[in-house]
This record gives sequence, structure tokens and C-alpha cells, in this order.
Amino acid sequence: MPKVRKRWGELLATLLVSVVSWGAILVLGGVVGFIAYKGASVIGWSFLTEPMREGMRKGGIAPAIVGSLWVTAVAVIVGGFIGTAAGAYLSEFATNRRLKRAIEFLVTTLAGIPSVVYGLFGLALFVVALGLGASILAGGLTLALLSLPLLIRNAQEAFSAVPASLKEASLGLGASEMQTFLRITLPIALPRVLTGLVLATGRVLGETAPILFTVAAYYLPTYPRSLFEPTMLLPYHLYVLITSGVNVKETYPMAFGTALTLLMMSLAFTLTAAYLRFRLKLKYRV
Amino acid sequence: MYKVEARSVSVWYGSYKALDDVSLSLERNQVLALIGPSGCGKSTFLRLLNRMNDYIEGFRMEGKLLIDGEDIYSPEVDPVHLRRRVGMVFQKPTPFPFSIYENVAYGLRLQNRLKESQIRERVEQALRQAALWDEVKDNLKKSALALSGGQQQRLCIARALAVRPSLLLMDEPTSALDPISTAKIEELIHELRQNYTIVIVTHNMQQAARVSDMTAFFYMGRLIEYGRTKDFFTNPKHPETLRYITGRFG
Ligand SMILES: Nc1ncnc2c1ncn2[C@@H]1O[C@H](COP(=O)(O)OP(=O)(O)O)[C@@H](O)[C@H]1O
Ligand SMILES: [Mg+2]
Repeated sequence: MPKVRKRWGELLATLLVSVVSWGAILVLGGVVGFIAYKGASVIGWSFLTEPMREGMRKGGIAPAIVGSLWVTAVAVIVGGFIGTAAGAYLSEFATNRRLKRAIEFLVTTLAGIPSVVYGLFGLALFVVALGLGASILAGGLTLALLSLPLLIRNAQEAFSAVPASLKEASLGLGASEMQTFLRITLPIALPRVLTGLVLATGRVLGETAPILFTVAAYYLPTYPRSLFEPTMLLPYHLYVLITSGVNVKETYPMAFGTALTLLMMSLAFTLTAAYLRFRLKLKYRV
Repeated sequence: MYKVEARSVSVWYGSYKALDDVSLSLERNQVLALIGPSGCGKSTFLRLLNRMNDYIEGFRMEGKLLIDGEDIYSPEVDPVHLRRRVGMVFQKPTPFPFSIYENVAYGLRLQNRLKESQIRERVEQALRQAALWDEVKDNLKKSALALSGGQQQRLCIARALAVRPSLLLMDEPTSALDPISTAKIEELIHELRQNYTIVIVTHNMQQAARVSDMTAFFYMGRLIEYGRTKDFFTNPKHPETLRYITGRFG
């Protein structure tokens, strides 16, 4: 009797799980499909490689693509270094338990702050106080800050996942703690560290609120020449196309083209992360 | 001068006393087996000898521990340098996810003084010493993870030997291995005895009897009996030792 009931329970659970997962896949596919359907007709070589023209009713979105890539690069490089170092400290080098706990608490708290608040903070610190003005550097640093909690956590977990037995073996051979970190822990954890970094890249690319006050230009159809200039960016350009176009009917399709471009770029990073993880995992078998 | 000498050594992990007033001395080129039920402090004692316990939170030690007459816990001693003189092999094989060659070369590269040709020589020498050379000489570039468990453990021995320690610590080095691999490693210990002093933890009394010159029996953090292996198994002095070696507790 209990056996039968268990079977039914299992069947029900299986059914529920598959309905929910298929539902999720359908919704996701629907969103992507819808945007692809609306945006595909707009996207072409010229759309991706030419600047905007005539307000923003004609031409392409190239300056926004370039700007987004610049800001994202700054964010990921700065955030990557600081996040990896902090993660390494927390996982491998922190000897003061209290300090470690305090940092971990801070990281958790920072992760819960809405992104628009980061934007305001970036405005106050980087744009105004440090005098960077609205610039790629200010926006990139703001986004670096935003992604730090994620990057720190990810790096910390990656380093902690390296078997303690290997670290001990290295120390046992006369390696210092730093040598052990650089020669054993870091290379073995690298796949996970990089995966987190590439995933963060995909996320940073789509962030809108933090760039609003720190870097994004409303209409600046030229390519940035230094880190100290403002620039157009894909998410903000998308927002502008929809809300404040002179003639929304004209800019509406371009908005979908922009959205599709953004989506494809994010997706590219996510897939890269998956691929990286797979390849490097094979190499190190961890 | 003794190779290893412990004088009234006690160890605490936090408030837990893991070793209580342990004293023993070991001559050069001898094999010492540490036996006793699990949790009695064998690994703790072994890891004292290369200061591996330093990393454990709450670890505290009293007493003196001398290697070659030098107090290894004196502030002048750098544990990193100590570990080049005192090699260690762990319970489970711990090959790095590198090639066989790079595994053995690892300890040599740390010191940054050797030319590649010298490294190559010492890698070969270490692999020969560990009786692994003939099995891997054509595959030095292959991943160490592809080796069998027994080969991996011999690789770890080679890796430790490459640094040319004079004292070799082994913590239950065969407990994860099959009987044939175990026999190979025991044979190896016999060979190595000519040039090294070896301290080996084992839960296997036959193994202790086969490979060691001296045996130390630990029980609940105390060194109950210490003596020549021959006498130890034929004529134990303490009732607890007798009970242990006849398998009546554990
Ligand atoms: N890192 C540690 N922290 C706290 N207690 C430990 C630690 N390592 C070992 N111990 C304790 O010390 C005692 C001796 O452990 P160990 O030396 O590993 O014993 P054995 O190797 O003989 O099995 C055990 O009771 C164990 O629980
Ligand atoms: Mg043990």
C-alpha cells in the first residue's frame, strides 16, 4: 500500500517538475523568439557598423555597441582583479576570523543593494568627488562595484573548492603559501573564476541604472576616443528609443534591433562561460 | 645525535589535548612505525615533524622537537625550509593535475636554482628511486591523473624524494591501495631505508612488523610503548599494547 502511494507521489512530482520546466523553457523561448522576430528585420551589417543618423531615426547603433563594450571591459577588468584578490584573501589568506566574517557580511549586504543606488553612489564618488565626470571610466568603475559581490563570492567559492589535500601536498614540498596559491590553487580554480567573470560580463552589459548618471550619453553618434569621455550604450539607447524618440513609430523597430543585439551579446558571453567551464574542467578534472 | 627527538611533547587543538607528554628518539636511517587506534594522535605526531599542524586553528604545542639536533619550533626556523628537509606522503595519493614530469619537478622548480637539464636528471632519479621509472618513462608528458592509484602514490613518493629530504613522513600511505600496490610500496620503503629516515603511520600491524625497525604505540594521545619492532610484537611490555596487537580493541 505505501509503495503504491509512493509511486503516485513520485509520478505527481515528476509531472509537476516537467510541466514547470517546460513552462519556463517556453516562456524563455517565447521572449527570445518574439524579440528575434521583431528585431531580425532591422539587424544587418549597416545597423551594426554605422552610427545613428537623423536624430536616431536612421542609421545603426555602432557607437552604442562600442561604448557598451568599453564600459563593460573596464568593469570586468577592474572588478575581476579586485574580486579575485578579495576572494583569494577570504578563502586562502584570511587569518583573522572576525575580519573575515565582517567582510563576508559586507559582501552579502552589498549584493542586496538595488542597482540604481550604485548609480547614485557612482555619481557621487567617481563622477563628482573624484572628478572623472560622466565618463567610461566612471561608469565602468560603478559597474565594477556593482558586480564585486558576485565576483568575490564566486572567486572565494572557486578557491575553496580546490581540494585541501592538494594545497597541503604543495606546502609539504616546501612551497610557501603564496607559491601554493599561484601554482596550485589559482590554476585549478581558474575555470570557475573565469566562468564567473564571463557570466558577470553578460550581466554588466545589460545593466541600465548604474550607467544613467555616470557615463551614458543621450545622443552622441561618435566613437569614444578615451576613457574620460561619455558614450552611448546599448541598454540606455534602447530606453531612449522607446521613451523619447521624436517619432516612436519610426524608432520602435530599431528598439527591437537594439534589444536583439544586446540579447545576442549577453547570450554569447553566457555560452562562452559554459564552454570555458566545460573545456577547462576537462583539462583539470575538478 | 638522533635524527628525531621528541622531549615531553604535548599538543592541543583548542582545549582538546591530542598529545600528552610524548618523548621518543629515533636514530638515522631507521624506519619508525606509529601504530594505535584511530584518533590516538598518530597523524598529529607525524605532522608535528614538518610543522603541518601550524595551519590548524587552535593548534598549540609544548615541549621540544629536534630534527638533526635542531629545535624545529624555534622562531629562527622557517617551516618552508624545514619542509625541504622533511618530505611527506599522504594517505590518499595527491597528484597535481599536471603531467607526470611536472609533478615530480614541482618541488624543484620552487627553489628556482636548477637548470632544466638538472631538473630532468633529478626527475628521472626520483622516479627510479620510487620504482616508477620503467612504467612511465615513455609517458612523462601524460597527465598524472591517468595513472592508477598505486602508481599515483609512488609518484607522490617520487615527488617528495626529488627535493632530497633526509626524513620522509608517510601517513597511512597504503590504506587506499590494493595488495599488490601495497607490496610494492613496502618494498620501496625497504630500499629507501638505506638513505632516508622514515616515519610511517599505519593501522596495519603486519605492515608495521614488516617495514619498521622501531614501533611506537599511541593510545589516547599518550605514547604507551616504544621500542624495537622485533621485541615489540613478540614481547610487549604493556597490557594495552598486548590487547591492541592481538586485536582486542580498536
Ligand atoms: N584539525 C583538528 N582540529 C581539532 N581536533 C583535531 C584536529 N585534527 C585531529 N584532531 C583530534 O585529535 C585527535 C588525534 O587525531 P589524529 O592525530 O588525526 O589521530 P590518528 O591519526 O591517530 O587517527 C583526534 O581525537 C582528533 O579528533
Ligand atoms: Mg591519522
